[in-house]
Amino acid sequence: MNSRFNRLTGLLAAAAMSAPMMGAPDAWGEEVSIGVLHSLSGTMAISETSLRDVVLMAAEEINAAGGVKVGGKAYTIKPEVVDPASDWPLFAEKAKELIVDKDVAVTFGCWTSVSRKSCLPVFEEYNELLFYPVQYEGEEQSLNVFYTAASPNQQLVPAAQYAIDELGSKKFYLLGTDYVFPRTANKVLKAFLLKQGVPEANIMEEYTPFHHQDYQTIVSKIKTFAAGGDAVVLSTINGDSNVPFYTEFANQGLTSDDCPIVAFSVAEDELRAMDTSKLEGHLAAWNYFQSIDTPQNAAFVQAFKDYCVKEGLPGGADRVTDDPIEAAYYGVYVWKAAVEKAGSFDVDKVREAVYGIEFAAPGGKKKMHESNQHTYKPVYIGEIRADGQFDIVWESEGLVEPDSYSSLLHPGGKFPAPTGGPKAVKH
Amino acid sequence: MPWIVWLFAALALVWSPARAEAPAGATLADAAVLELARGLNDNATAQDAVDQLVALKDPRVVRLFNRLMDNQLRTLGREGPLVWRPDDNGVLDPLAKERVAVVPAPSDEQLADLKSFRGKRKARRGVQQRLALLGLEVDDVQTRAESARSVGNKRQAEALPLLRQLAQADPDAGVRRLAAGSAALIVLDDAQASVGDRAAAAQTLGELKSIRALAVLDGITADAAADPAVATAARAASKQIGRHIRFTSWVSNAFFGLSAGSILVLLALGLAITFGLMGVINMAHGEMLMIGAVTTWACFNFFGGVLGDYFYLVAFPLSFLIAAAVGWLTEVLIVRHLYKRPLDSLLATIGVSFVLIQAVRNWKGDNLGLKTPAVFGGGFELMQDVTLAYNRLFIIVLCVFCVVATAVIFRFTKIGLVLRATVQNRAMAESLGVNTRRVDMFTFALGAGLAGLGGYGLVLVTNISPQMGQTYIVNSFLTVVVGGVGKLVGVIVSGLGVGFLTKFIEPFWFFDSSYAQIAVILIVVLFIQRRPGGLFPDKGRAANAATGEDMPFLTKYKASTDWICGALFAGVFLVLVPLLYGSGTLSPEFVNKLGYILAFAICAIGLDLIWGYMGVLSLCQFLFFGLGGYCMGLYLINHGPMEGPNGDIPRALFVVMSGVGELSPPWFLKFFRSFPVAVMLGLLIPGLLALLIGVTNFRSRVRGVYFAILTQAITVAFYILFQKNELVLGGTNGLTNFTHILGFAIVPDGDAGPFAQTRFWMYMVTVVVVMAVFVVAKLIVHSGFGRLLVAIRDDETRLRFIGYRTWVYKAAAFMIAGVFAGIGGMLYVPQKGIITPGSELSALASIMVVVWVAFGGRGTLWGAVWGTIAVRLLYDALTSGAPDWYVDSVGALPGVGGFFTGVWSADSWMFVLGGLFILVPLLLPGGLMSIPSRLRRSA
Repeated sequence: MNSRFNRLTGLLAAAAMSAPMMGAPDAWGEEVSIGVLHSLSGTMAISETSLRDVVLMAAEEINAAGGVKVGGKAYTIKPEVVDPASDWPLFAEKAKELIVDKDVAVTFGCWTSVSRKSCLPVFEEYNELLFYPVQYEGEEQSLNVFYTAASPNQQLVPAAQYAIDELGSKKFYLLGTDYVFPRTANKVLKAFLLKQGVPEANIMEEYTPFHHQDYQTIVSKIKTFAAGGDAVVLSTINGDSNVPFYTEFANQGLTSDDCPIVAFSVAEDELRAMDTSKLEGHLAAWNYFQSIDTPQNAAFVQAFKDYCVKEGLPGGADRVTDDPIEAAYYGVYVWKAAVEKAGSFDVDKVREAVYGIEFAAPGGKKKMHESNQHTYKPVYIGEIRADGQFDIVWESEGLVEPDSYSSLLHPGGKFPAPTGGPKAVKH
Repeated sequence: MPWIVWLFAALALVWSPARAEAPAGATLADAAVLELARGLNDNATAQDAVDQLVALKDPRVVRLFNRLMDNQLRTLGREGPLVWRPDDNGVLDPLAKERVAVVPAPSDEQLADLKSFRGKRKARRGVQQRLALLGLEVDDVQTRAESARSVGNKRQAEALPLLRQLAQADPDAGVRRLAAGSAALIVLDDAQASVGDRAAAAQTLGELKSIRALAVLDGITADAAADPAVATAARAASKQIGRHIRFTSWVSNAFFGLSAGSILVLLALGLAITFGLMGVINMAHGEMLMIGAVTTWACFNFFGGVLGDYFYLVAFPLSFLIAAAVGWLTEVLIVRHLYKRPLDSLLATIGVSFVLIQAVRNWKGDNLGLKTPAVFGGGFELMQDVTLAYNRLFIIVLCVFCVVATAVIFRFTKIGLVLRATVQNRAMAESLGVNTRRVDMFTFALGAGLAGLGGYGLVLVTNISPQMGQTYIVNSFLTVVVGGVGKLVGVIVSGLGVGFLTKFIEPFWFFDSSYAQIAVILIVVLFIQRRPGGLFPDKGRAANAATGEDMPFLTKYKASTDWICGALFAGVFLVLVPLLYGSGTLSPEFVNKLGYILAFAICAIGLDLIWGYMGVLSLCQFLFFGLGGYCMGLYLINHGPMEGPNGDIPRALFVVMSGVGELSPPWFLKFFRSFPVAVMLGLLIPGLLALLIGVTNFRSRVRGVYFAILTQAITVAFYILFQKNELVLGGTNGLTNFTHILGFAIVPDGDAGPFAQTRFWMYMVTVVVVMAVFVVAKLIVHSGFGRLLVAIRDDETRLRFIGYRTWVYKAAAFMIAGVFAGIGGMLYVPQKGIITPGSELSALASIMVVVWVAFGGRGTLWGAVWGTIAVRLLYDALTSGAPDWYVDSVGALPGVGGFFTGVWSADSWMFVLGGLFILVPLLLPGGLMSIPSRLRRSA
């Protein structure tokens, strides 16, 4: 197994981190710009700022290890940071600016689906690349995007399976914030559960608007729903609604032993802002946890903390890593490896080089899909601990192949063709 | 604690003589027991480990299990020995009865590497069931109750004899009830039990009103094969339980309503003072809440280590004082200059809010977590199935305290007296020797301090972040307005009213919480139309503003300015930009950007017409823009890429529709297929909605801030509505994937010249439309109708007494403004490439239109145009960070270079923009358009 991976070109994140600090190779003076398109203000800053930080850290590491080596030259990465300010149309504007004015070779960015939808036409129009690091609802496959986080079958379905097998759940409360990801996620989940023979009456679906604060009514509904035991909440609640939800859940006397909550949008970084004593024992499904116990991951976590301290970022040494942070981080390394493999920054060549590439991410070995733009990833279920970290209670056997379009939603298997791609292909 | 009590009781149980003949497990060495226990943490062995440990019938195992369930077990390092860690210090023997330190004492290294040992879920479930069985005989009531419930839910038939015993003889009524319920549940769910027993069990469950039995009972009722006697009993029981659920949910809803209402009162009380009494449209109110919450967080962070949960006591005065201090500073530095211009206070306080958000963000980041004091966990069980959460009870108490304290200050203190006097009649108060400056300072600081206390309370129910204030600002304004601006008692009644209303609407099956919010907004809008002064109409400073006594500051400018601006506009946008674009100096992207910014300007001209000239502040102008945009978007997706089995579903809608069995295009899509029809709808829909809003509100004489806040609420309703997937408008992702307009490809054609690009011509059309709309607006302003609008602004009442039906003119002007916005939206969408509810329909978007107009100078029309262009270009430039030329030149300045490059960065643009929003109303009242007259005056 190891020898297979050892053949890989130099994208080993751990190797890069342990490399001695060599300083930027300014002797060559070659630079390549990369775009960083994450909200630093507005409602999404709470999540996206950490991704900006980790992308900058990856760039700094790569520069310290000698830069991106193409055609016998070493290129120093110059990150261009912009703030799309949680303003969806501004994402398109900033993407354009990065591509046209800053002449970036690639862009790392976006969190919400709507922000990705906003700048996607821009990346397709200019045939440029975006690395998108957050799990999402799927139903998309653009040749101009690499999706380094989970598609629904890499997060939702294994979690539902876990609930049935391990939690012994018979009743499912699908609770989400009212936007496209939870809606699609729950469609996938419901299709899966029905297929597993869960009667329709045992599945509840409920949505709340963004920033919903008052979960009294909903928790009391859950309480009635879960009174007979064997119920589970599958939660796609987003962002600042989570604290009110979990708080209310605990205060109305429900515990993770009565009715566990399996969350799909709560990771370590969000837990920093929560009173975890109310969350202990609840679960989350991801493809990476900070608690993955390997030397590579320990080094990554430490490097991120050190970076935050060194840069004087808020949180400092208390900062944590999580799934999107890992995905954002190795995205940079995947791109670097693909560029070096292709021997060029040319988008069409880099795209081809990304397909099927295997790499060592902090959380372990992963692989880009051979054709559908997504990533083969392991799946983990973790239990929230009092210290805001996760105990991994289940993990998939090996890597799970990603779907771009869900086979549960398109039983015929008739998927739309990929969008975007090289100009010449488009009539 | 119950686990400890239980532990001793369980010990007694295991040692009871009846079990003395059990295998002598006690002989098993500690090490062997611990080795077995390790198996709990491995999925493969978990079940076995539980069984083997139980088979030992050993008190050490009971202790171990209890400690496991209390999450008190750790291992020293990954492979190290298992230890008991009941608190943060001890590392104790996990099997010992007393606190015995482990031998050998762990090294510091091991101590630094404690791993939590929780056991796999399978193991925990097994252990919990075992402990539950034991727990039935424990002294502690709560443990017995938990156990009685748990064995029933798990249908542990072996517990039946004990359960029956408890159901008869337990001293605690709650335990008797749970035990009886569990026993009945086990019997009912056991197909082997006799018909008589099962029917009796069903009856018992009905009498116990056992909600957890409902699913089983309904299952039997629905099961055709069930014995008729059991089924009849089950049906009766199910009905009985249903009645109980309805009753308890009414009781719960009443409490939920009270709690939601008290939070609203707490949020709005401070605003009722700064906005209600003082007339400042205080957009920074949410940030005062945030300051209070962040102060509480800081107390936790800095004193939590020493004080433990008592940090919350310290935070109480501090959150008030610090928020009050920030409020005081705001008043002294900014707000006091704007009392005569309440509407300008909107712009300045938005600036304050930007600055405060960014300051906190740069200080400690967005993730501010704290551990709320333990006393606020859990709740008080009012009756069966009704729990009142302690944190919510505390907030109710806090709310009562704030209300009472405010009332006492106002009624019974000297400062309260002069405060009321100042609010009622400033001039008279002054002439009687009241220092109104000091009163103003105090009042504003008091309002901010109360907001700080609101934030202090919120910490118990929600999370803390620099952005949190934005979540509450709309509701706070709405609460104040419904209550009646200027009367504190109004806030209390309206806050509680809205709280109850929401909580009694939400549970209905056809509502989810989104529709409940929309319904509440609708009800509030209709209410205000019936009572345009709110619940308790009053005459305060704001009430005066509402009747137009405080005239907005207006720039007088000469006709020549019009011509100069016109020439400048046409010269730049119609001649210079195309020339530079053709020569390659300006990128197509920049021209595209100018194109959609000018589309915003059309929207702003509309707002200036009704705000600047007619004096009606609207906070839904961008809603009309969005609606126009959606109409054009629907046209565009009709002619874009298609997906779906029949290839007739636009790609933008595909993602919200994908799924089995719903794959036909939405019914309304075909109406937007033809361009002229889509454009007509793009004019009609915003126009008619504007007319509807105008007629209903102006006719019932909703005015001033009441109207402004109402329109904001309407915007929020649409914002929530358009995010719903079931509307098939693309949900939160909105409409995108536009490729062709009128048959022309939108995406640039690399081979064609710059003047053969669709985007360029969309820009040109926008420029021409801006000029056309401007001319129309100008003609309106100079017509008799336009004079009437100004007259309405200056004194509507007089106009009405002269015999004009002012509402007709107001509604007409409002409709025209809405149509202008719709035009802007239609021009914007094809150039921008996307329209989403999150951005275009948000409350902030409509506020920003007001900002553009105020920045440019209202009542000038040109101000709307230049203000929009200036603010948008600044926003775009600042959020991108400084360009290289700036870093190279300004950054090189000695001493100050670092500061200036730091200021222009993606991390601090809110300081710059916020600062400008503050400075413009202070230094340039009248906005950009007042610059020429100022220059003339100073010359």
